[in-house]
Amino acid sequence: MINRKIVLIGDYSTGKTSLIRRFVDNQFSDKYLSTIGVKISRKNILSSEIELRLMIWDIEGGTEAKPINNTYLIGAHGCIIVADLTRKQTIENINIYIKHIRDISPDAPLIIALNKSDCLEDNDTKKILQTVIETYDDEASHIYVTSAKSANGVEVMFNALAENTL
Amino acid sequence: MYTQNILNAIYANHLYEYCIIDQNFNVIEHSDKVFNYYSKDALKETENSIFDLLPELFGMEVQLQAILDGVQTSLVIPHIFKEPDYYVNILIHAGEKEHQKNISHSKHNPQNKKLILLLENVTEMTNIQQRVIQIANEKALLLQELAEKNKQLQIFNEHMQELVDEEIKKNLEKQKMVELQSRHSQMGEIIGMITHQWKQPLNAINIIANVLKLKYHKGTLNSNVFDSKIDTLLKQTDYMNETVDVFQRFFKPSKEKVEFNLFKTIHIILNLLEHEYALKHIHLVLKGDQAISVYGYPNEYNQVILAILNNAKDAFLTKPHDTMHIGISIENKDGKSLVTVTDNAGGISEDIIDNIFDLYMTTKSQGSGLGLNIAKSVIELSMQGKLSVENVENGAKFSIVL
Repeated sequence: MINRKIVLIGDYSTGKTSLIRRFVDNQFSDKYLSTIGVKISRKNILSSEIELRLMIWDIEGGTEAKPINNTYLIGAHGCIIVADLTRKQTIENINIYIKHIRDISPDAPLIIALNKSDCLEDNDTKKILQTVIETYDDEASHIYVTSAKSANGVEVMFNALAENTL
Repeated sequence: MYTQNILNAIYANHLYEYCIIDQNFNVIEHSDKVFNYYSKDALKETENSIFDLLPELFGMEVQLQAILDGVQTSLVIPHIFKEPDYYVNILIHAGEKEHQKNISHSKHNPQNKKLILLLENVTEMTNIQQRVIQIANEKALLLQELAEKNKQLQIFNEHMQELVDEEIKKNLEKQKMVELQSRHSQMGEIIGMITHQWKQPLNAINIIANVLKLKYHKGTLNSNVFDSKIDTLLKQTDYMNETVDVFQRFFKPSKEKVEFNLFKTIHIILNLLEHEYALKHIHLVLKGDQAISVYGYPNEYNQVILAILNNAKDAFLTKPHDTMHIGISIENKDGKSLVTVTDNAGGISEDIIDNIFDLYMTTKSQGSGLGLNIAKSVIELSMQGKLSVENVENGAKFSIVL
């Protein structure tokens, strides 16, 4: 069994906790409860015939007043930056989180999750996705459109990141 | 040494637990209740590796080694959630056994290097922070949503203005079209009236022409007969000219307000209409004070009378009966002129009587809904009078006050 530390970062209320809950427990709740500090969840998966124990760090969302604590990023094998498709600012802030992760774990594979796709029309999502691809294609190994509510893109995203950490 | 007992006693009354780990990252000493924070799975397997007991440290080997080597003084990992509902801060410092501290040759012995991990229970404080941050984040989300809605509203308003302008343009075009149709319809009516007016003189001219032709061929046309017939012909053509002049005057907009006699003015329109109405068996009667004069636009006033009469005529055509009658009465009331047009065409439905003067309000399949609306504008806006309607016995009564 190989341990892998995966961190989820991004602005507050972008759905980091919900994505983890969907992936680990296959559950979802509409209620917003802000995360303080960090919560660590575990899930064992099989990736490329290798047993992996993912330790998934759900890190308190950053705000203008309180940026994320870089200590949490130490030793991360992979990172998911989560943005909310319905909040432009959370997408514009992706570059701030890229800098955080690159300062601490320069080689960790990085994925961008454009979450809450269930709240947007497909055409609007496509437009945003296109812009994000044009802006961050060099930085991120993958960019996924996800919905913790509908489970769209969640499992495939975590599995892809796990595989990238090998 | 009673160090551990002393520490246990101190930590028993505080929010701290501790453990000491060696250079291989194995736990070699700890306080009694530190198990509360250890991974339950690791405890079952009697592990003593700190990375199994505290998986939060996994991946931080480099930093721990740096502390052991004295390169880094400490490390703090704040606010770690532990099942079932604790929050702890993990504080990591370097440490050495006390009795060896003063022995110089062993001071740098790696075997003596240890790490002290303090686990501070910050549950209460973190829960308070959580509530504060929750409120702050919710407020920030609401403000963002509000800003977004305001932006959308602004875009919507800008777009709405375009839509309104477009609709106004369409309505103006539609209104122009309806007015054009209405004018065409009015012209048709005028031509109809002129036709009625001209029928009689044309017949007379036709007869005279035939008589002249006959007498000429028979050789009985003398100068007296010829002059007499020509005079009659000229009278008829004069009458026809006069008819056209009257229509031209009637439909030509008045340029300025003048004083005009109500009876004479209304009489003109009745003259124009009497043939057509007689053919439809509608009896027109004008009565009242013949001396009343008012100040305004006479042609427009008569067009109002025409619109009201047409309205009555159309009502009669829908429900004809044997005694179709329209009475026009002129009187002076409280120092103002009052002209009433009363018919016995069955009256106006109570459902629509309050909206009868509205633009595009019509009950007729071919109606424009402009006639009575324009009539009200003419009387009330152009001449500062009052045009109203009410139902009376078996019919409707329009009242014009000037």
